[in-house]
Amino acid sequence: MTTAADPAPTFASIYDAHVDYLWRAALRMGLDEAAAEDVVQQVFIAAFRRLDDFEARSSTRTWLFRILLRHVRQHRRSLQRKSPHAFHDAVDPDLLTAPGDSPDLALARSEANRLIRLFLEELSEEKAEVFFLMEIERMTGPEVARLLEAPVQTVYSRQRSARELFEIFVDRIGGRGQ
Amino acid sequence: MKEERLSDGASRLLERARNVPALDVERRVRMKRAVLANAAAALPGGDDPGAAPAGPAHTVNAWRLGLLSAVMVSAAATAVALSWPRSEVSGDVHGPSTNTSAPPTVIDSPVPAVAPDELPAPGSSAPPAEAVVPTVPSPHALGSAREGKSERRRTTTVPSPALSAAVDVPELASSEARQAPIEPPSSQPPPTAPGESSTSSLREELRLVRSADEALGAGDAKRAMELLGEHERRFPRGTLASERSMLGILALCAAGRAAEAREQADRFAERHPRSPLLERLRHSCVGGGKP
Repeated sequence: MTTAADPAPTFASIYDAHVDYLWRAALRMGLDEAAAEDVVQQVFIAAFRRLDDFEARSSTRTWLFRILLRHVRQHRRSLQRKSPHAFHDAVDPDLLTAPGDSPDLALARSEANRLIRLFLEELSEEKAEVFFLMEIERMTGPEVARLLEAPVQTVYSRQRSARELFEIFVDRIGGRGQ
Repeated sequence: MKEERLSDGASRLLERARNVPALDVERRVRMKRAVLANAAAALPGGDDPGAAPAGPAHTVNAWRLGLLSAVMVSAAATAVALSWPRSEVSGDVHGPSTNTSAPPTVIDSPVPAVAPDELPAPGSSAPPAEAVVPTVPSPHALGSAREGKSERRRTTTVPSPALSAAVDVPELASSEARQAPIEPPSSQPPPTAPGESSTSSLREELRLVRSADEALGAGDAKRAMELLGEHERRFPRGTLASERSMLGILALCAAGRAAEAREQADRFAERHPRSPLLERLRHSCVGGGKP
């Protein structure tokens, strides 16, 4: 009849440890807050149901991150099905050229996140995760390599390729917006 | 080395995209509850909180035990919320018993919306998970592909509206709970297993709350109130405190004390604005049309 305080890691503690990260990552991938809330919940629930998969994994965070990546992609697809025009490609040119003191920074931020998401959609999953982890999360190549259990050269090569595509993407949306 | 190789436009876009607001505490807690309520339905042991799954790896098993104890908590809550026949609560629920002599203390419980240990320090994140999870190197691509498949397959069972609309949770969870026993709970946790004490108290909580619900179903509001009163005395801040509050309101309805019930229901809704339990209240004497 004691309280429920126990020192062992519980699902609740897993949640506590990673929810902030997943939340930020979801926003950084371009979900608005309501969508991020749904998707992050789904990620945890999915994780919950897949403990067997989890047990062979070395990093909870990576594992959750990958689930998140997929859910964000799915989320976008389902939104597109529901309202095909929800994602238009028009871009505020200021986003790429103006100095940081935008009149509406929050708007610029969410727009930037939306664009990042559009870009991530275009990448293969492997490149998308490397790009996100290195360019947005600013992890180093060796860190990402450890996280993804991939050779560091592979990571760098994915990064290089993703960066090239990103420049093309930026040119494209910049040109269209102006 | 990274940034100078990107163009200005690209760097700027990335910089803006990095800058996102942190998760606020309220949302954090709300999500946690929803996650636990949903996830619990898919796990084994929902019907037997004392059981823990067998597993080969010690560390993993310890983790799962811990996890299950957390899950059971919500599984129990979910089960409680779900196992009650809806017919009992739909429409004007006035059981045969209109006994008003039941102890009113049941309902006045100051139920915290969130247990203290659930309240996170904003921005902080302890890293307990990695410490326990064994490091097993696995080929990335392989694991990824496998994960992808099961991911797609399983997530289809979780329609996202159910997550945002708290009221959908019970139906979803209950149907899945019934059809998805994942693995038979087969071994008892060792005496020192984490969550042991919380497990037994949870079981007792569950027993009281379930019995109260059954009493309500049988139209015995007085008995229900007694059981809820006992729950409140023994587990004032128990895992099932909100279920207790909700049942207390139904008991007041059943006892014909609609005014008190409404008062309690208002408070309940204030404390638990997104609780799935509200759905049940909606079908009681406090919901919709006032009696």
